[in-house]
Amino acid sequence: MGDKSHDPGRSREEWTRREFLKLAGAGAAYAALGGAGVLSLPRTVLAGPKVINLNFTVWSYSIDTIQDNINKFQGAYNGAITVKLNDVPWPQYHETMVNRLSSKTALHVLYNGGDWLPEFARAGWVVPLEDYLPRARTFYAPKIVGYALQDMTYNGKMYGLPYYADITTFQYNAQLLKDKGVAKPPATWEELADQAKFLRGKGIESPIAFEFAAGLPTTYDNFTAMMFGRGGEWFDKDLNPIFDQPKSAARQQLAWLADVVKQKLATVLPHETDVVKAMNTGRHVYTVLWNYNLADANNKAVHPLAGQFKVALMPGSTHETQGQCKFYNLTRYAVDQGQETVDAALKFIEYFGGEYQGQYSIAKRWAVEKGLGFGQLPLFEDADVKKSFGQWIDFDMFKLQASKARARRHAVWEGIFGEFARVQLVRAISGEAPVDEAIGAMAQKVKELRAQFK
Amino acid sequence: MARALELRPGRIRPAGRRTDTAMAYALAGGALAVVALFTIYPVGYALVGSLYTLSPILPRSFAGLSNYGLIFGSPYFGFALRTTAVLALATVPAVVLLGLLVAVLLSRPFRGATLVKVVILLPWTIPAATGGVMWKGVFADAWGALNATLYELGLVHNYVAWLTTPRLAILATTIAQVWAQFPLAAVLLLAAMQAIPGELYEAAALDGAGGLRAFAAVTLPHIQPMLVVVTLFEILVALTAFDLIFALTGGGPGTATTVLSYFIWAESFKMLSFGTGLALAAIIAGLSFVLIAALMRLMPREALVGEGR
Amino acid sequence: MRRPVWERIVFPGAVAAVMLFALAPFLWVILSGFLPEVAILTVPPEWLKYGVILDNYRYIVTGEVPRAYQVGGVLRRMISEEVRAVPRAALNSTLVALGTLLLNWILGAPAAYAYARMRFAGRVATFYFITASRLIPAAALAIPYYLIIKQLGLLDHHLALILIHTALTLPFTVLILVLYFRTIPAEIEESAQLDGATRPMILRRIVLPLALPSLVGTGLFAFMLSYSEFLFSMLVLGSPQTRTLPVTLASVSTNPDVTWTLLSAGTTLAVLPALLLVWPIWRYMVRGLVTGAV
Repeated sequence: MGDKSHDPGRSREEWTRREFLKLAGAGAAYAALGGAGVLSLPRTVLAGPKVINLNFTVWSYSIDTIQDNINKFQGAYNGAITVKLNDVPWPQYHETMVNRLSSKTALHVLYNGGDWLPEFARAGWVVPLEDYLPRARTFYAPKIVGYALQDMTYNGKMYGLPYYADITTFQYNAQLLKDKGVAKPPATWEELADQAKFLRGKGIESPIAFEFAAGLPTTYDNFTAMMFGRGGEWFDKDLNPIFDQPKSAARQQLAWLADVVKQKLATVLPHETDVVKAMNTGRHVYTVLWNYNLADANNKAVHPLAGQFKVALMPGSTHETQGQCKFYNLTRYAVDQGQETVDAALKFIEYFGGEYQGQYSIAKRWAVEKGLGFGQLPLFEDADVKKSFGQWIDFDMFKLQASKARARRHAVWEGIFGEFARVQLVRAISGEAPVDEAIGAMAQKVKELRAQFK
Repeated sequence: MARALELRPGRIRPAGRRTDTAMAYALAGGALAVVALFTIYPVGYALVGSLYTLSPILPRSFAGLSNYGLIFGSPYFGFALRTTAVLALATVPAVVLLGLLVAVLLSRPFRGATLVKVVILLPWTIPAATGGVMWKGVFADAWGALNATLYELGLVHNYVAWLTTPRLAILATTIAQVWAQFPLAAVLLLAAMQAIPGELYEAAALDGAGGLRAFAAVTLPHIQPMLVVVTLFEILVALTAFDLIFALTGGGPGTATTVLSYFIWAESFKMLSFGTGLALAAIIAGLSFVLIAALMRLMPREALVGEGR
Repeated sequence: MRRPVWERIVFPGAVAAVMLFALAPFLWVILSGFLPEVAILTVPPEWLKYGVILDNYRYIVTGEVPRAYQVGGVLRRMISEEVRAVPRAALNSTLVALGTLLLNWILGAPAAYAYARMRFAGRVATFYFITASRLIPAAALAIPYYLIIKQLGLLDHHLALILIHTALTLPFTVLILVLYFRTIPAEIEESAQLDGATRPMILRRIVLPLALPSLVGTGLFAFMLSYSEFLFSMLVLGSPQTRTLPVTLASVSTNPDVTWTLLSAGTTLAVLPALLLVWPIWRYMVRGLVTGAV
């Protein structure tokens, strides 16, 4: 390049300048397009004076289906209510909503869950549904399965109607188990460890796959469900910790987990999608996951071992498990907008989570098309639901396990505790910290939180 | 047109030093305004907030320095700091060295050079979290491409647990992080190398210096400012990045790949303790500042803010 | 005459190794996008046994659920619907990134010129202010940034993201441009100044054309950072219409019913816009570097 510096310079500079302008021009054109994009945001409907606009925020799951449901809702009310859909990725949902709600962002209805309800309610961001829709309590509550109702309730008030409700289940590869000569799935955790050792002798190196990660909320769910199988609980009725008692189910289960991981009988994966894939390679036989994952694992369209996976009761002495509910929740912001807005939002919540023309059509759609669990009792007897679920799960076993499910006791500081606890849990499970140390740290945290939130 | 101003001899203007300040702010004002808008208020908010118990579910109260105390006393801080340090120590030198190597390779013309350059730039076009997911597809214990390839080649008889063995997970994370970062380092260093006048190499050749000696005598001194810039930038990235790591390992196994910046996020938003999260952010910012101030001393001051000409 | 070992073996070997490292995950992802999930999950691997399919791409573009999902009277459609948002999100990301690139040039170049060439009060202080502003961890800024954007009435507008991304990239742009401007011989500018040219004229007519490679380089840098920024994109944009790529891909990859192969197809599509833009800009930058006056 050095020899070129003898050029007159002028032409070269002219050239580069022209090139630069061309590039800048192209950039400006794109930016103009960008501006146009901003301007063409969905316009508010100006047609009639009575149109109410609602903002509905969800986590990003099946947006097309949600939008389709919204379109049906808008059609049902002849466009008198419009709904704008906002979505947030699931792993960041809690903190993003904390940010939006604490900044008083305009949103009227949102997906909420039992673990966040106490703090959202205490912060004054969401309001009880039954205060604005009395039939939520009188008409709907008796038709909702116990763990779902419990998860939607805070301070004795019912806060929403179910989007979906599900249970955590013990899932296993029945085919593989049979091929290797094991007659039936384990009834207790100790039996599971024995079966796993036996299977290792048969060439399956790591028969168990679990979903645990320090940053994953489901870590807390999965551990709770396993501990419930032993009949355990985190707290007593007054929210005093009982998990730190010497022979507590939590301590036993954590020690059991640390042991099977140490023996490499169990592999710990960071996300449910990882577990479903790994199970479908035939390298693992047992897992514990939210039940909807079984629908995915048994999805013949994509998975090589689909059809081989079954549910057994959660191992342990009581075979209980955890149930949960995600629900449509009305916000304080909506209430502050006045009665017309509240009425519109209630219509929306009822259309989505309740009955419309005698049908739980949206909840049913989730169950039939996506394999999501449900909180509405009539759906447990619905022929279409049974048929659809029957393709991937023994429906009677599902009902049996659901009858043994309960929700956690939620304290207002539970979200904070859960965040703290799951790091302690994965440390103990991975052998980074002794079980007693992890349990001790969690107990200490509860003490601090109880003092803070007297 | 542009040339009109070039050759009009005879008119000499005094150097208008006084008007320079107004003109300089007219030129720099836009950038300063945007940076100030997104710095002064947020930093003020963060520093003040770090002195309060700030939570949407608790009454706001002055907490003094107790948030800072909470952080240093927290069981997380120690191991997250250690993991962050380990990953930074592994990735930053690797990124700079690989970037330098690639820049050297690309600094001489060869056939297909453009294609190579575009290919090497590719990792940079990927959002960090997506890069993490892509590498998960490579490293996944049970079905990843790496295990499949090694198995087919007969190099392993059992799949290797890349992501669930602590040491291997740290290695995998480092590889993915280097992959995501080296293209930028290479581009910047290459640009700096190509700005070196060719005469210097000719002179060096006349003195009998070729290859490595010319590299040490000519290239290195000239790209030193850029090396410092790249290193600074990579340190910042290493101290604050977690998207890629998190998508790859979820911070595990255990907490083997859980980094410091995750805890700002967790403290602030997941645990609804904004004050503590802000204190942690201030600590990380302070840490970065110390590191960078130390590195700045390596850079000739003149290169950055020397006298205007 | 035999060429030295360096030329014959070491150099091509090193280039090939680096290319393989850069490409490997892409090759895997691109291949995966054309395979059925079964081929990936079979152990030992049988990637090509089931042939090559276009179903994943067809679903993303047309919404037609792959045939495999419709067999056997399956009622369920367990497939990640979010992946269909990828093309739209890629367009959104491209627009935001181009806006950021442009704003970086408009604001960054004059500022860098002032710092490189002019003497004025507060020069050192404001320069350090700009460059040090990037030391603050992004997570600490989440709430105040959100409040600023809300105050400006820009929630869910792309302009909000362009502003934030510009604030995040400007320090680097200014720093690099200052370094570059200072390598341009001052004599040209001095003679122009003697001729009565003002600072903006000198910047526009002499410095910018000469600094073209570095302008393109910094613009490219800003573009790419913006294109892949996740945290603030998630916070200030809310709706599927404005959503940018990193957020959409993050959603897809954690969807419970996404498959690796579908995710791979989505990722491949996501890379395309950046690839198409990187190619000409990079080519141009290389040319600029070779012909630029230094």
